[in-house]
Amino acid sequence: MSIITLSNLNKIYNEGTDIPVHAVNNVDLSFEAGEFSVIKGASGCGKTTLLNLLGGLDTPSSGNIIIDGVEIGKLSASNLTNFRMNNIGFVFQAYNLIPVLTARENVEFIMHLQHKSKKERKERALALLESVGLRDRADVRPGKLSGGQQQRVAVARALASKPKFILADEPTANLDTKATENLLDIMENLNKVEGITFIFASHDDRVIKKAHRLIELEDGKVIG
Amino acid sequence: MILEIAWKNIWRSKLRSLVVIVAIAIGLLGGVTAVAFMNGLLIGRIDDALEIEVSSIQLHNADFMENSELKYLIDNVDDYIVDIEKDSSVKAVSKRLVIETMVSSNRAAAGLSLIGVDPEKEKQVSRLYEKMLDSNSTYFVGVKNRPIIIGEKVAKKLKVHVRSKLAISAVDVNGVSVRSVFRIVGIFRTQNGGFDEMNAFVRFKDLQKILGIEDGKAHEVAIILHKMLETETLKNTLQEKYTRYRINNKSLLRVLNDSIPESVYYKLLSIKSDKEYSKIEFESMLKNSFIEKTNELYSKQVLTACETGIEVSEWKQLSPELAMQTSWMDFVLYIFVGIILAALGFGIVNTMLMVVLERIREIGMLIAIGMNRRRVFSMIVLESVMLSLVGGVVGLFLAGSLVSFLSINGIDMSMFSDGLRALGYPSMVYPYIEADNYIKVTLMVVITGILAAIYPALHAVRINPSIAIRE
Repeated sequence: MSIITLSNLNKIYNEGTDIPVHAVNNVDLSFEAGEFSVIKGASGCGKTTLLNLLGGLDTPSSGNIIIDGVEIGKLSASNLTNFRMNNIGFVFQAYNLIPVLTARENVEFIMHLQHKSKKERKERALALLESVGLRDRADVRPGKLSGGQQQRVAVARALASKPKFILADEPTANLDTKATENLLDIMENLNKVEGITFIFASHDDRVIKKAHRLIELEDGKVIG
Repeated sequence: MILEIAWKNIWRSKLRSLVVIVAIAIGLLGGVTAVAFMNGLLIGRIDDALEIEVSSIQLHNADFMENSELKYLIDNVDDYIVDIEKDSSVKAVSKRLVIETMVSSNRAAAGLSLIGVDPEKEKQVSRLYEKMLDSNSTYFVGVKNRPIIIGEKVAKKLKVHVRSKLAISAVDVNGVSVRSVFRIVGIFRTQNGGFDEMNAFVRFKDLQKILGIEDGKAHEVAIILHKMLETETLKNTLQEKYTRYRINNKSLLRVLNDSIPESVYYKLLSIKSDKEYSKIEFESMLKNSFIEKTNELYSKQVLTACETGIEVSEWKQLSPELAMQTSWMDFVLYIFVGIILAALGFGIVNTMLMVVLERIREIGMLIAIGMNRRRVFSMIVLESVMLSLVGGVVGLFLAGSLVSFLSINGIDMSMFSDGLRALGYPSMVYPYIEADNYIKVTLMVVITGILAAIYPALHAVRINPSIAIRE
């Protein structure tokens, strides 16, 4: 069953000017629950734009995005924020952890926004850190963690809100080979064991190799 | 948790936050201490004004207040004193005779108010006896026959000193010119140069004898209360009891001078008589006779214009400039601290704007993962309020400590004593500030923090997460 359906999706930057940029061009796609998909393509092909549209971070110029039966283009700004919080997990290229909070607090943060109890927050955060192999680093601030460790905390944070799927935009771009392998193993394992849906945007071969489904973009169009 | 994040965020850039905190602290230290200093100056002035010059409440013949003629005396003054002394709020009462006179020495002459007092009673009402210039000066001690106490400025003007003789020229109750010689027993120096220059004191019985005034009469009754400034209740009680109201030619003239409408004037004219009423009777008569709804506005003015008998005045009426300054002190605090905080507010705006601009990617991430814009706004406002509050608390603690220290040890302003004396202010100032003003200033700091955060917070909530994350 599809959890995400994109139909006739377009994103045009500088619309109405002499030099419009068609970042996403008539994309029709759907994603099933439990997928481990990678959107690949050269730099500037529209991977990140497509991922941002999927995550409700950007609005399409035309077309529909339906997530779990909800057409997100029709949601108000505040409802869309809440929708993202409860349905979508994000892993960013630059980790984007809150530097003044510890690893555990970073993971707990989104659960705080969901008004989860302190006990539940703490237990789930520790369990998630355990699942990414960082239980012993729970009380350490991001500044004291390596890049790979920070990205694993970011994965734990993305999972904290129990989202329907996780969007990962170039998650390995800043990592060395060992950290990349470690991170991808963890994500693959979460996909296999817990059925977490991952959608990546990446041109990293190490990520592409792990993909169960490859979507190739070129100039904003799906070509394969 | 947002509170926790906001608090932790303040300390991300310690130096920048400390600069803001120190600026707020110094601003408040300066502002609050300056206001406390002005307050102390005013309190010193009020204390001396009440305990030496005007006392808490004074009673006069109603006509005396308009025209200080010798004949406008309070009859049966001792009965009033006995009655007033029964009130538990009263600390002491003293009767006085007051005349405008010419005092002359061998070398010069000066016009001043000559006040006749009962020394023992007066000591309970006035601290003038503490203001004697040197050990040669006494408060009516040492000379049995007609002692007089004068101010330092008068002594200099008349070129006299303790033990010198002074001649007093006056007109007695029969309109006959009298001249009498007094011997100086004391020269005083208060903090109010004007008071020293305008007043001299003799014994009540000496002045009474010279002027031929019968026993049981006085021009003035001075009352000092245990709580000197809280005069309103007793003033109203005494006024109710002692003041009488009458519509005669004099009161009608006052009505005209007060620009009360002609219609009211003619109605009053129609019921003119020499009959005196108590306040309740008079008000009831006004209401029943002619004061309609539209004229009720003028009933207070009519009451004042028709006063006769004894007039009861509190210090606020006797020294309106002090009353005005007292009521303005809170206002001065708000203006002073308000200006300082407004200036500091722009610094906070700048700091918070830098905070937002430096954290665009992080704020974008927070919005992306589900932090709604209301919470983002609150987080920035909270950071600003906390930053301001830390500075505010430090500043108020320093100001409180400094004011507390200075309120005990005082600030010696004797280098400006001549100027201060000319204005009636003390040269030793004990800064003081009401405890509730610290709470008010804290609230002002919080408001400044909120206002200063609005622009940066609006900037933060407008961040587009999809762009910010890639920054």
